[in-house]
Parts: sequence; structure tokens; C-alpha cells
Amino acid sequence: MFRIRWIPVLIPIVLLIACSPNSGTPTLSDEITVYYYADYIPQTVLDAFTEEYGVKIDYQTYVSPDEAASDILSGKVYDVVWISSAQVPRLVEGGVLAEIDYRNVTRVADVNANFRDLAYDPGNRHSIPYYWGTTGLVVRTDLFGRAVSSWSDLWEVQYGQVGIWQEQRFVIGLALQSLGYSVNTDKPEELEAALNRLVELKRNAVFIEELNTDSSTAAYALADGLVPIALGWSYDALLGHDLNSAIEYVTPQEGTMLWLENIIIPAASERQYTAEIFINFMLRPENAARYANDYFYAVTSDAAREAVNPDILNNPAIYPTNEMLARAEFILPLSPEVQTLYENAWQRFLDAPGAAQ
Amino acid sequence: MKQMQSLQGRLLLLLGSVLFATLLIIGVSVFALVSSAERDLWLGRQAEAGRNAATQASNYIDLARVGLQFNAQIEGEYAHLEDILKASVARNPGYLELIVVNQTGEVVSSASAGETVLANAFTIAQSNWFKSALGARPDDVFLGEVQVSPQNIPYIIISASTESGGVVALRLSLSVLGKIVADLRFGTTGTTYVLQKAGFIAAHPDPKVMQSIVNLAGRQELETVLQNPASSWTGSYVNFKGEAVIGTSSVIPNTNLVVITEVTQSEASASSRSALLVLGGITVLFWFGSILLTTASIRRLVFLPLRRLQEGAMEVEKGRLQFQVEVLRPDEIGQLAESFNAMARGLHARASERDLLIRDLQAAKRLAEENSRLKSEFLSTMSHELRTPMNAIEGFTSIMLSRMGGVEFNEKTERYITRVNVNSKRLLQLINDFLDLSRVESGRLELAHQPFSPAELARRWQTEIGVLAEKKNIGFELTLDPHLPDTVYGDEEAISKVAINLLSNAIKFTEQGKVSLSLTNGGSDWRISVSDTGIGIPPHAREFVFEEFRQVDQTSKRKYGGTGLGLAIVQKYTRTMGGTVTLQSEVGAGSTFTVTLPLNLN
Repeated sequence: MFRIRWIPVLIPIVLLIACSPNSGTPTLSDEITVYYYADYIPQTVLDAFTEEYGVKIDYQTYVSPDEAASDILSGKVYDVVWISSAQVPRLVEGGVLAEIDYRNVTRVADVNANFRDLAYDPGNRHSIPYYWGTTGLVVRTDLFGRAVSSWSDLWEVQYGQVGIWQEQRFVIGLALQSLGYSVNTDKPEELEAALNRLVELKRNAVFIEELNTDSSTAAYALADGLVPIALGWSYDALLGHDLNSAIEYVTPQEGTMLWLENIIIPAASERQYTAEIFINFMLRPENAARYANDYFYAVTSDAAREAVNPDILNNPAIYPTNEMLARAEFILPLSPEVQTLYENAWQRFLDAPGAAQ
Repeated sequence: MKQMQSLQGRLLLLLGSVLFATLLIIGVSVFALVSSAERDLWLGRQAEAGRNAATQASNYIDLARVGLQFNAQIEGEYAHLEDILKASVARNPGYLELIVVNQTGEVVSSASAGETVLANAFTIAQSNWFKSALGARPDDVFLGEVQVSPQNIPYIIISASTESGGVVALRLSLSVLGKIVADLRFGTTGTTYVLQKAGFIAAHPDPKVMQSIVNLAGRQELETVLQNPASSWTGSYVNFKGEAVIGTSSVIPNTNLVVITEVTQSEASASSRSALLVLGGITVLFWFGSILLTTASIRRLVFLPLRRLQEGAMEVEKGRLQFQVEVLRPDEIGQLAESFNAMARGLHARASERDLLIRDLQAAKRLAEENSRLKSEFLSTMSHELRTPMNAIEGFTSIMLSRMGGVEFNEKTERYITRVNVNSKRLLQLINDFLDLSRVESGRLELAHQPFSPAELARRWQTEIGVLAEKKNIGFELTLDPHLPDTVYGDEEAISKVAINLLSNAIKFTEQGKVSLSLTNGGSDWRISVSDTGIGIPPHAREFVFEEFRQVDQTSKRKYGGTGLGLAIVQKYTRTMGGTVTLQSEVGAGSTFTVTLPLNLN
């Protein structure tokens, strides 16, 4: 008797339990680790995040992206990593990147269409582009003596030496672009042609790293008059311009090597939710704009443009015009065989006789 | 009435359980049927909505694709290309941008409605849509990931290779998919949305979902769909919004988009639940009603009649045999009542007969007793009347024989007179015995209650009987118990009559040897034993020797004489005095009669 009375009561209860919403709302952790170059994220933004969410930031640093990628591949645990797009494919292939839950990173809609769904990470499954830039020439216009417009100008220096970096892809890339080839070419003959040109260049070139000045930027080498022209980036030019107003940034007409810094979450992270909240925070227009204003870089967020200083926004060294980007090319990862070709070429370049100092 | 197990209760329990089980099975079956039918209904609606959305979306994208392929085919005519692209964009509201690029990613021609995105991009050569379409077969159209513009407009990029080796790309707004799915309503919670194979939501009626670019790739419940979008699928799960839903999928043909329809389980089972409540209510009511009705019926049809029968039986037990149970129905219980009534009637009839018989018997007994009394009275009167003349005959013949009258007669006369005298004495004896017997039988024997000495009495009997023994030349022995009291109370005459009868009987049947008389004290009684060494009494005769006119055989009567009333008188007198007579005998060795009398000491 009482049993039959309970059935209509029990069934809704069972249904209610079965239908109860998935109550596993993730919670924020107390701390996350962030891995990037030293001093490459504004401290004010990190502090603002800690203040708003109560999550401390453990900021760890690396020197080269290659080293950072190796760390992640070897299983070291970080929660958020900024890393060059050139490293992303090997990390994706290695299966060490978390798939980003875009429900927590809704600001991704602000990312400029140029940086979406690129071939190295279709659908931005694992990486979110944060800022980007071109590669060009930093010139002391007063010392160089004439207008600079292309990579080829490096071979026609009349006074002083050329500043270059021990950056394999950029150096080989500039030679390839000067010849009208792709910076990611897999054709040995094109590479060979580029190498020949580089060997020629090396006779009048010095490595910025080897100069007795701040080796993290070409700005001082130029300001001190050690070199009249150098391979460089907007940051070098902007910093140099402050030191000497004759320092200018030139995007070569043959094309420019684009670089893109991405935010990723290693799969080993146990604080993915907090990491995503942090990334979304970094993508907020005011925070992205702060990045552009502090570091003179173009951020991918379109929404941030309103908050970026007009000086920076209108500076073609930072935010290049479409004309400047017409022949822009990303430095992309190479296949292992092509990689070997590049390494051999690079070694031959290093072995080639350099300029007498 | 003693504690008993209620048959009614047990019947009710059994009936209730069986009925409950039956109703439960029926209820569960009906509920299962209803809920499965309802679920099928919802799945049907959802599948229809999904197909509808898929068809519309498919038509939309197909149209765009056909347009794109058309553009790819005519790409060679550079002169008109831009016009054609512009016309396409203008004709199709969803076309955000249409561009043609060469094989190095340089824009050859473009047209856009509003913002120019693709044509201004400096990353075309690295973009997924360019690299995927470059060099592919013209009909192998690339459908990109769903993107959401900063203005929150979902779009996809469709691209295909051109005949000249370049790529034609279309940025197609998916807001039309949003309209399609928003227009599809079923139920109040029914939701249709479009899912890209990589898990991105391409269209959702909820703008909030669209703004957050929800990726459902990690959702367990959608894994099957995303792995194999083309196969039809249904599932019950908790969706990304935390709602328990029933979902179906329909693929949008030739795309990596799947239309998902979801309806909350609470809505999809709403009818079942109300049906369950109603069903449960009806079942409980029906069960209650059935139990009540059955109980009432059983009580009315069985238990009330049974109680009436029981009450009837108790009435009969109390003796009211004419009691009749009311018979209401012609069924088994009615028959039982009829039988009960018949039984009561039978009992009543037989009891009446028996009562009549008892009355007759009592009347007959009274009549017989009266007759017997009258007979004894008559006999005693008759005896008395006979004795008077007999006394006269005996008296006068005795006088004549003693020659006291001075009458002379010869020897012959004397012999006759002697014979008259002897026979009259015998007759007188007989009459006296009769008189004694009839006195006892007519209840007129009045016993005296006077003190006497048993020893003295015994010696008087010895004097009286010893003469007879001497005459027959046999011995006589008297033994007296020293514990015998000196004085007892009783009727001396009656006791003497008993003893003399026994003693004269013993002497009569003893030819040689002796007759012994002994008096013993038995504590509460005293005994008079008479033993002889005579012929004895055979066992078959021991039962009737005390009856009137009975001797062991008729020959002995002639040989030993006597009236045959002696032992009858002994027994009747003894019984009247409250005593008993016992007999021990052995044929040829002799007999012992023992009279036991109550010992009255005052």
C-alpha cells in the first residue's frame, strides 16, 4: 500500500537528481605560473589580475623560444606560456598543449582576422596570437647617408659595418627575401644563392651580440654609432629613436619577415581554467593596449586599438600599413630535411670569414 | 470466543497483494509505453527540426558554393572578374567578402559588403583557407572553422582552387544559420544549433552562446556526433549549459556542420510524468475501491451468513432446536443454511420423539410398579386369608392326633389324618414364605432397630438347627470372632430369618460331613458365613439361585423339598437391611454363603 504511494514521489526525485545541472563549476587556483622572456609582460597588468582575481602570478623566464619549447616538451609544468608561432607546430605535434576552452576566452573574438585560423594551428585550437611585428632594418639615417628601402641596401654600405644577429632564420630569411625567394623555401638552389649572398655580406657584418654594448637590442649599437644599419625590429627602432632621433625603422620593399607571439597552455597544467581566465584578462582591450603602449608592439586585438596611444598606432614601424605588408611572410617551421639544409647553410655562414673588427 | 486467525484478513491480504502486483505491472507497462511513445514523438519532432535546419543551411551553403565554383571557373576573364564578384556579393545577403588570389597569395580581385578583411590580409599565404584550397581539385571545397568577427557575426571562409592555380575565397556570414535555428521552435525548451565538426558552435539561437564562441569539442556526449557527423544519432545527456536534454543530430550535407536539436528531458517527459501521476492516482483509487468492494462483498456474501450460521449453531447448542437460520440466497452459502435448518429440524423431530418415548416409558414403569405392589398386597392378603383356615386344619388335625379331643379312630384314619396334618404344615410354611417375600416386595417390611448380642443370637440358632443336624447325623460347628462386639443394633428377627434359612438350606443339601457357622467382625461391617460339605452349586446356576422358585435343577426340588423361596428371601431381607450376600461354591465339595451386614453400634 505505502509502496505504491511512494512511486509517484520517487520517480520525480530520481528525475530531479538525474536532471540536476552539472554543478562542477571550476574554481580558481591560488597561483599560476607564467613563462616568458624576462620583463616582457607589464607588471601593472599582472598586479591588476592578482588584485581582481586573487590569483598570484609566478613569473618564470626563458632566454630562447627553442629552450622554452624544449622545457614544455620535456614535461615541465607551466600554466601560461608566451611563445613564438614558429614553436607552436612542434608543440602541437608533441601533444603537450592543452586545447583551449574558448568558453573561458571569449575575448578571442577581438583577434584580428589576419591571425585567425592560420595553417600552423587550424582553428586556433591550441594557441592565441597576442602580438606581432615585422622584421626590418634599423638605420642611423644621418650616418647612412642615403635613403634605405630594401634588404639589398645591406650590401651597399658605404660607411661602417652591418649589424646582424645570430638568428639563423632571420639572417637566412633576409638573404632569401632580398633575392625574391620565400623565407621558408625548401629549394636547395635558392638556399645556396642566399648563402652565397650571406657569405658576401659577412665580410662587412658584425653580430650585435658580440658588441660591447647592451646585447638585447640593436638600439645602443646604433646610438653609439657602432653600426649605421642593423637587422632589427620595431622595438630596437623605437628605443633607438629615443636615444637618437636619427634612428629609423625601415620595412624592406622585397618583403618583411613576420613574427607572431602566441599564448599557449601546456597540457601538463592542472590549472587550465585559471590560465584561461588569465588569458582572457590579458586579451581585454585595456590590457592588450597597455602591452602595445609599454613595449611598442602591435597587439592582435582589434578592440584594443582604441586604447593604444595614437603615436604607436600611427607609427608604421609598429602598426605597418597594408602596403608595407604586401610581401610580408611568416617564418614557418621547416621539415626535418629542409631544417638540415638550413643548419648546414648557417654553419657555412658562421665559418665564412667575417669583418675585421 | 477464543483467539482465532481471521480468514477475512488473510483473504484480504492475498487479494490485496495479487491485485497490487497486477496493478503495478499494468501501471509500469502503461507508463513505459507512454514515456517511450512520448520520447519517440519528441525525437521525431527534433529530427524533423534538425532536418529542416540542415536542409535550409545546406541550401544556403550549397548556393554559396555553387556561386564560388562559378566564380572559380570564370576567374580567367580578368577584365570582368571584379564586376562579377561585386555582383555576387550584391546579390547574396550573406556574402561578406569574395576574393580571388593567385598561387602566391596575392589578391587578384575582390569585392566586399562592408568591411574588407580578406583582401587586406597580409597573412593570406599562411592562412588555412588558402593553403587547404591551393592545388586541391576544384570541387574539393574547403570549409573553414567557424569564426566570429569582432562584431560577433559568425562566419566561415569557403575556398576553392581556381583553374589558373589560384584560390577563390568567400567569407560567408552564418547569421542566416542563426536565423534558421532561431526560427525553429518546438516545445518551450526545444533548441536547435549548428555545430562545426571541430566543436565550435556555428549558429545558436542564444546570442550569449554565440558571443562566447563555445567549443564543444571536449563534450563527452557529442563525441560520437563529432567523430561521425553523418550518422544519425540521439542521446540523453547534460548539455554544455547544464541542462538534462534529449538530443538528435542531422548533418548538413557536404559540410563539417551538424545540426543538433535539444529538448530538456523535463519537457520531453512532461506528459509521461502527468500520465504517471494520473495513472498512479487512478491505480491507488482503483485498488482502494476494489479492496473495499471485495471486502464488502465477501462480508455480505460469506462472512455475515457464516456468522448467522454460527449464531444459529450456538442457539441449537443452547437447546433451541426449532431455531431456523434465515435463508436469503440460493447459492452455496444458502444451501449450507438450508442444510443447517434441515439438520436443526431433524434434531428437533428426533428430540420430540425421544421425549414422547420417555413419557411412555415412565408411565409404563409407574404402571408396572403399581401392578407389582398391588400383586404383593394381593398375595399377602391372600396368604393371610389362606393361613387362617390352614391354621385351623393343622391345629385341629394335631389335636386329633394327640387324642386330646377324646376321639377314637382306627389306624387307617390316623394315617389319613397324619397326611392331612403334614401337608397342611407344608402348605402353611409355603404361605409364610410367600407372606415374607411379598411383605418385602410390597415395601411393607419394617425393620426394627434394637440392641442384641450376636453371640447369643448365634447360640440360639445352634440350639434350633443343631437338632436337625443331629437327626441327619451330620456335625455342626459354631465359630465366634472374639472381636465381635457384645451389642449391635438391628432387626434380630430379620437377621435370624436370613441365618436360619441359610443354615436349614445347608443341612438340607448336606448328606455327610458338617455345617459350619461363623460370625466375624469386618470393621465397618460384620459377616455371617454358613459353610457346608454338600453337593455344591455349579457355576451356571450361581446367578439364579437367589431368584424365587429356582433350584439348581428340578430334580433337586423333588429330592430335597422346600419351596424354592429360601434364598430369595435371604437376599431380599439382606438387601433391605443394607447388606449383601455372596456365594462361593465347588461342585461336590460344598458351598459357603456369606452375608455382610453393616455394623451398627448404636
